[in-house]
Amino acid sequence: MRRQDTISGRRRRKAVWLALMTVLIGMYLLFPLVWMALSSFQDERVLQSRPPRVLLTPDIFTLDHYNFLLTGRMPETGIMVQAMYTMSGTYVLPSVVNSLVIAVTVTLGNLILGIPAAHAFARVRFRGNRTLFMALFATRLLPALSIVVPMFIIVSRIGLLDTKLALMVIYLAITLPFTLWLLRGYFAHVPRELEEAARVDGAGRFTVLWRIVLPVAKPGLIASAVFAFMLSYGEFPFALILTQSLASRTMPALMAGIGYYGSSRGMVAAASVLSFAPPLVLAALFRRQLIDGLTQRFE
Amino acid sequence: MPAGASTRAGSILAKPDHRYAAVSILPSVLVVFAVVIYPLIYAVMMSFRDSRMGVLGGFIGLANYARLFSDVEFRLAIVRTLVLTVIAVALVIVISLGVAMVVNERFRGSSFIKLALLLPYALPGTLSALIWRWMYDPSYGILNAVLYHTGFIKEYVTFTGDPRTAMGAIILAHVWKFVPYSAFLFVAGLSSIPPGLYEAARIDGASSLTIFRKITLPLLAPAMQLALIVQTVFAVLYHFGLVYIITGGGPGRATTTLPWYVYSETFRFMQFGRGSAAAVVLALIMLVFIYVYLVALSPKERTVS
Repeated sequence: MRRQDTISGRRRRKAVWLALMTVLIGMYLLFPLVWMALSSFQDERVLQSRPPRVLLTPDIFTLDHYNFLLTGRMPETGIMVQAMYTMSGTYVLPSVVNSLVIAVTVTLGNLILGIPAAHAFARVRFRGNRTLFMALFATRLLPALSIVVPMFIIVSRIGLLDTKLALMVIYLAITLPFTLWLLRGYFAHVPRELEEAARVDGAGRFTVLWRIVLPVAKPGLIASAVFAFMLSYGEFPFALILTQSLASRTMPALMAGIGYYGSSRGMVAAASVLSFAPPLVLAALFRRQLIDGLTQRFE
Repeated sequence: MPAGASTRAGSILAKPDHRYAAVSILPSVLVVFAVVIYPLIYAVMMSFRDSRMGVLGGFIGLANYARLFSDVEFRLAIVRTLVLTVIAVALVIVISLGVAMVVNERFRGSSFIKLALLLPYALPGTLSALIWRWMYDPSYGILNAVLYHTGFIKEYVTFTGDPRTAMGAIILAHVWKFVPYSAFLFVAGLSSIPPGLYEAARIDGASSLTIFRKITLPLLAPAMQLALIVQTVFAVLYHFGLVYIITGGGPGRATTTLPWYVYSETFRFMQFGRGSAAAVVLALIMLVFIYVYLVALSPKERTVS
């Protein structure tokens, strides 16, 4: 009897402790994001006052920042606020579109090139398979800043500065190794017998890949697509150096130059919320596949 | 396979499987190596050439490297990069392991934490830099407000403008963004430890600390190795955006790390040759890091998949 009491007591203490840790971890991970979201709806005068207001009460709530970013319309009140909406603010939406176009193209490229390659790496035994795979993966270790200068020279020499094409090709190359690594893991977990049975029936390698492997490895396809999208949507150093005009800037390159001191904090916060929307929506839609991919559950 | 298809011995492509492999793999290999290796060779070549003011000049051997290493700021940049990397990796590992152990208790909060982890992970780096700059703001930042009203500071502090705190500000922002990745790795590693081991140890009267040291850590070694490597790479690769947005390498040069040094030498001072030499050194340091990890921490068998 007594022993049971101590066990249930220990359980309760553990439950309390776990709840406490959950709250702490949740706050640590989420507070900066919540703070950004709240700021984006706050009146500029409130944002630039002490102490900061955390609760979003009706008297400080405003849609001015979003209104400006989405329509370019200045708020009617407050000359001070108008002056703080910087010109680059009107390029936020175009830059998000630029990044979306690039990221979607790169994602498709990853699947088109990555699927057959990963399957061959997973299934075909040939000399140097592992070495080649590791060599490809090793390119991920190279810091962007190590090749950004020659890249700038090469890209400007062939006249591709300020174009999406240059960034697409570069992003394809820097995302592919991870895609290959992830997909190879998923493909290796597809039961070999399934593939062999189909091949005995006379199906070619590509048919087997298309008809048998891909349907089974669908979570892996989704995960690697989302990862490739996120990486190319948020890439910064190459975008910074290879896009010079405001109109050609991708989201990260534009946002990096936005909101220096004296510009509207609310505008920057709202721009951040808008720019975060695409990867956020993807993460929410495909959370299962993402978490499985990150925890390497390749089933 | 139809007989006869593999009669052309000698050629690797003779066997249909090998042809399949070649057709499947070559495009990826070409894209990756062309885009990554060619500029890298280009950088090495540039580092041997005189190229002040952005015009490539003649071959000058190792002069760029000699000038580079005689520059105190360059040597300091290396030190700062190492400091940032070591502290950031250590913090990420400790925090993410803690988070993973909580998640591994498999209670109702586990899935909530996993979802919460996805958000900083999905947030593009530049946006996280903007958020943290806003939180560190010397006039209206939430961090100042909290510290001030809880009595930790007597007046508002310019975290990012003070050489003593600027690097810490960069590191904390980096850690926040990269904890999730390792946390997921550790969750995977922890879930592969059979629960029976813990029960047996507890029945034998082992303390939590002993269990952690004798069971959790050793069995987590493969995940730990991967986490260390990946986080080292992340720390070196991805702090550039934070420096660019939060401190601009300053105050003074307090946050001028190697990537920032490469950037500012090249694009601010137009020292292409010296910038390239620094870029090559950066790549080499990365190689050394990885090599040390692989040798020092190599378990008997490493299987990635």
